[in-house]
Amino acid sequence: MKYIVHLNKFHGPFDLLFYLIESSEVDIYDIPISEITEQYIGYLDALQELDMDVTSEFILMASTLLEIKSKMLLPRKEGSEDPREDLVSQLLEYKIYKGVSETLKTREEKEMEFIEKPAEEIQYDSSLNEQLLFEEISVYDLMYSFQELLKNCKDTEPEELIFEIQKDEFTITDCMEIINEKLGLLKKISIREIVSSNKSRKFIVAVFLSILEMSKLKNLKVVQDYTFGEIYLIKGIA
Amino acid sequence: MDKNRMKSIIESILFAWGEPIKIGEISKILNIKVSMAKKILAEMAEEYEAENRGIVLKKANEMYQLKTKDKNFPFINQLFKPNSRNSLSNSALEALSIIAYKQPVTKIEIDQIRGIKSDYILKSLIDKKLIAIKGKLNKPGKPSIYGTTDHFLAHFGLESIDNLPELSFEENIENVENIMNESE
Repeated sequence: MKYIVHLNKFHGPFDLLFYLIESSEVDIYDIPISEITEQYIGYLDALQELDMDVTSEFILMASTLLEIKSKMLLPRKEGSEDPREDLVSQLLEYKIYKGVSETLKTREEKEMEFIEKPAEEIQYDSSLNEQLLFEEISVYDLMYSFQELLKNCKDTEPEELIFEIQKDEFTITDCMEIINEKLGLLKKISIREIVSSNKSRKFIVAVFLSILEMSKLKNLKVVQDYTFGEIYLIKGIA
Repeated sequence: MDKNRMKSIIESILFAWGEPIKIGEISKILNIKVSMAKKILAEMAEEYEAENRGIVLKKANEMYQLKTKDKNFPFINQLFKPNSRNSLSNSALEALSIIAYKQPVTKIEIDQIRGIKSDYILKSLIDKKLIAIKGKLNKPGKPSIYGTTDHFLAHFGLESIDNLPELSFEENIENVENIMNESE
């Protein structure tokens, strides 16, 4: 059995790096880069071994560390920038905000000792503001208007409409293939002949739509000898 | 309207509303000037400080809210189940600190300082009304710029953004000292 654990102890590569620097008690301005890089990568390896997510940001930091490490090995010109400089200034900036976030956390905890209550969900019906007048209205008036209402209801009540949505038994692609096949054999075919095998409405509709589609694609030509005469399909040139 | 009557109405409003409410809203309901409302609220805040009151009037910038006295928390706490109140995660606090001090700030700047993407955190902070998009930067991609809200101030018990704790640069000071020691 495999366990997958998500541990969010370090919420970012700087956080991890910072932890490593602090726990090995080294000077942040003179980071022993080789040692820290080894620890950092070792930690990532351990995470992966435990099947934990190592996000790309952590891997990016590992490669940055390796880059700095290799630069440190090369001889540098007098007065040139320390390869660690960028990293250190980033770490310092991160440290400032990490510190602030800890201060905010204690403030938040203290503030939570003041308890607030959620807003009331007060809603009122605005129509209640209009006064109802019952003067000179009898029970019969009410009955009458109720009957009127009922009558109107009957008139306007729509019949219950139920439609059944049917599954396409024949797709246009299928029918286009059928037509193509038949045209390939006969060169000229009437629509009547195509639908002779299956006279269901759905099939006829599908065939008709495919003829329109195919003529649009110029796969076939539609001809008719005389008005109301048979419609024939002829294979297109394309 | 007499002042005591106004205080009574304001107290009812604050109680019913529960959450922080803008002073403009209060002055509109009472049909008085904002400066007048401010004066009355300041008086009320002072009155709540009396030993026999269990409520405090909290101010965060333009927002006012009634809360229970922190001194009474250990007693109220006995009514609550443990862990029933949720505080912000460390990652959220980190992003929030950066926004609070660097606002208006873009997501990229936040990501750079944290060394990790903050999309999800920013979204949840917006949902919690602690930050808001304050506009768009006129740069390629028109990135949104974020800033804190009055709800942020209320959440951390700050009267105004100037009350944020000062940034500590002790590291940097140490650094300067180191350099000076070396040169000696």
